[in-house]
Amino acid sequence: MAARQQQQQGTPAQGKTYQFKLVLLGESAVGKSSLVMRFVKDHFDEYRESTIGAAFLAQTISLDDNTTVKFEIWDTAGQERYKSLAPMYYRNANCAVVVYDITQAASLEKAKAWVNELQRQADPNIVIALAGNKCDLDSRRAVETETAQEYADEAGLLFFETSAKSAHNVTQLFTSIAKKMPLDQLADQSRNKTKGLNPRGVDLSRPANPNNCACKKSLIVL
Amino acid sequence: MVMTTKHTSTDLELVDIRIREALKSLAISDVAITENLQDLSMENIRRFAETGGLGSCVGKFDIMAEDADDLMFLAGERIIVLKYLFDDQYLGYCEGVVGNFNAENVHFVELDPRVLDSLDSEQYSEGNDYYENRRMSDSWRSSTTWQSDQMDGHAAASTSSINSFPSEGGRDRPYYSRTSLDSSWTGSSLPSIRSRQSHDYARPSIPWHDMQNPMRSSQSLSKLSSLGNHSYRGAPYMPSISASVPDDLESFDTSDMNETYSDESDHDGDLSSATANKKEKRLPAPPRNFTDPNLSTRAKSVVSDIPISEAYVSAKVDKDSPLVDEYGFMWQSKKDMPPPVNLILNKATMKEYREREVKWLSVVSKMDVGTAEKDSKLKKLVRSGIPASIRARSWQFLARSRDYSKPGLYQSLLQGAKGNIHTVIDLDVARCFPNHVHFMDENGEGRKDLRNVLSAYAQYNSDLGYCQGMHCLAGCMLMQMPAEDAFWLLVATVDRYLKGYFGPELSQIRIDTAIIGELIREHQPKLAQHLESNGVTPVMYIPSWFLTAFTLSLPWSSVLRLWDVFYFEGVKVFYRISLAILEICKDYLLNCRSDTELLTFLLHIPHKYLGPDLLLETAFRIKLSKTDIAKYARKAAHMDSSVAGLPFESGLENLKVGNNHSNTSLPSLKSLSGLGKRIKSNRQPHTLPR
Repeated sequence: MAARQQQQQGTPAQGKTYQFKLVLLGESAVGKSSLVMRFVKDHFDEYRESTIGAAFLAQTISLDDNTTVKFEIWDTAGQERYKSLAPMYYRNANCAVVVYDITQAASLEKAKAWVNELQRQADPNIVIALAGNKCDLDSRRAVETETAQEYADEAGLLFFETSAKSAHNVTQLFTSIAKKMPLDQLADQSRNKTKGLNPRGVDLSRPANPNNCACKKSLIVL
Repeated sequence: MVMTTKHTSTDLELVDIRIREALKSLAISDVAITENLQDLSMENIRRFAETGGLGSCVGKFDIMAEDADDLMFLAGERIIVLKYLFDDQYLGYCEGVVGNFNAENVHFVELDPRVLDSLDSEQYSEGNDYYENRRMSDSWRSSTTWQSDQMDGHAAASTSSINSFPSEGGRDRPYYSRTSLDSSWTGSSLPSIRSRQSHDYARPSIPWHDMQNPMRSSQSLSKLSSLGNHSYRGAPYMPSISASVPDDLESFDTSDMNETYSDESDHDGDLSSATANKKEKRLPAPPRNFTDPNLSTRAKSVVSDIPISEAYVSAKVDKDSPLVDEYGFMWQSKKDMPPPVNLILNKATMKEYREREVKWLSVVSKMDVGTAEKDSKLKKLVRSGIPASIRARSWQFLARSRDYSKPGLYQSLLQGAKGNIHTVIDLDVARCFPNHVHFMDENGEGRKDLRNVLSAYAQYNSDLGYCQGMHCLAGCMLMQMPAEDAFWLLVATVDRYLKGYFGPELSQIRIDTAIIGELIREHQPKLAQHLESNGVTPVMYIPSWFLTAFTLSLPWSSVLRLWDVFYFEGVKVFYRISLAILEICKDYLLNCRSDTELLTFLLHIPHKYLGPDLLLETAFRIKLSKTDIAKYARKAAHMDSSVAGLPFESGLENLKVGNNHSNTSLPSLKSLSGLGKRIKSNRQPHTLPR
């Protein structure tokens, strides 16, 4: 909702558009896909098919009149077994959202394991956010906010409790990530980057796939 | 055994006899259906059948058509009665086909209430159980759309449930699901769908189910409540529906089929979808609207005897209600719903379809699977699609799931201790085809079966346990067959066809991404170059295709056709289909100028591009040998750093499964095609109920 409004407010043709690859990680059924769905389509499905392999979507948000950030989002399968595929998705990621379910204490442990792995294996400059999802289910809460906040501070992560269902903090989560990205620095880096999952230097001034309205009219300025 | 079960209930006999009498005495000469099929418009006949015909009966045996005008049907299959002809001969409609049948081969279970209304009520004495029951059922029938005399009440009910739809429901498309960007469904409408009771989502009763539950059929039939319009408890598509039926009305009621049909016609005659026919039988082209000159003539003439009027039908039009396609998937709007693919447009295609059905019956009941695999004619037959009525049996036959099955083991596995794996399974059970009527109900039979099958498998093969993706396989199987059969088919599929795919390292899928990469380079060098230069690699789309056996990526009509071939030719067809998808989309992909565009498209290819005929035709035009795949597998295992060191042996073993590309054909189909008219089902013991 908010993301969409922002997108409309922004007139990216005038400013700079930065493109980032974002990966969602976390245990099965914590709501990774639902978060993406809320962020990109402002839509929530109570009944949603499990993600197998990975799903991909893009969304553009405006930080201010001159700055637009386009996220290319890889949403991954949560089951432990799919872990072996995860490096393919986070290998070139600029940012990550590691999701746990506030009603499942074990899912925070899993999230910590993902954070460790990212800090070890991913791009050293990766921006990581921790998201405690399903905060609409406060009555069933199993992870205290403070516990998670403490851990996030310790590990140097952004932290939000979110609800894909109620849309609580979803846009804030992604906007905060965008703001935390060292924009100029990354833009410089990406100028020379030509391989990997997310090559830069793509001219987006041409109308995009009409199915993907989120990135229409975006311009990338490197 | 099942086929020859005699319903001995006195009540049932009574129903049967009375319906027969009623049909004979009914003044139906005005009905614009003649016994000369040549003169009939299929649309007109079908239209009449959709609205319930004169009533319905259920086949007692598998009946093969002797000549082109005969109706072929299986034991347990429902036949809509269109007209009494002479002696014991009736004109009936079954699975999209019209033909003559003999009353001796069926049980009449239901007379259309509208026909009853048109009869002289004095003809039957008061106090007659049959009619008492009918009246009784009227009280709850009012909650369904089916009864024209109850329309007002229903309209109100359905309106209220529509109003309760979450308003945000249809606004956005899910960005990934088994649907594509082109076609979406909305899961959030499910609760209200449930509240609407059975009628919209009911499906025809399924032959295998009836066959496997002879007792249930006869018991419930004997209750005579079959005159109502509720669904047959436990029928594959109606778990939630049956849950809404009062216990005392549990019935063998096939009339849900009527409702489905009428609902289909409700939507501007887009009934083709309405055939809601899980069996993928072919239907004639849907009438586009009621102004069809033939149709209106026909409607008028029918109205004279039976209140099937435009007003009646259009009063039921419920444009906002979710729709169910021919496979049981729900759609938020007609625009999203895929066009029906199973059309019989003329008598020739109908005949051809019936012939294939007969051939398949012969294959699964008489042929040795080893022989079948080498049969090049059968290969052709498989590639043209297994008839829906025979599909479950054929898959099990081709997969040799009988070789794996051990009596009683499934049940004992279900007793096994609960462990962590079950929690993991539960998470996916709730998210498996949530837009399919079989799985939409949280406490429905569909989800229960799915949980059982997956749990049993995790026990059965504890090394593998449960891996995401299996739920899609099991879900697809459960749409076709009972849980225990689905379990053994899953065993055969995962252990024989898809070795190495679901293991802890997902090693085979990782090898496959490398293989596919090589194959694209070989077959589509320009596209390969384009994809690679944009950083789009097979690992981004192949896992979601292979690990779900394409169930989340293709239109369902294509999924079923693909599975037909998969069970005959093995996993090789996955590579073919992948290449075919890329070939079909090549022009579009080559015009994409960024990874975002490419991936957005590739991971959500609009279903309209991936219809079964084009997809399979393209797939089988590609020159692809198992040797090539094996070659690339070896190369990947040694050269590709991302998969180096992974075991590639399972993949090579998978390639040995199924048709071995030999062209030596054995005399089989020809000699089998001259079957007797009646095939006793007990010739095929492994398809019998357990």
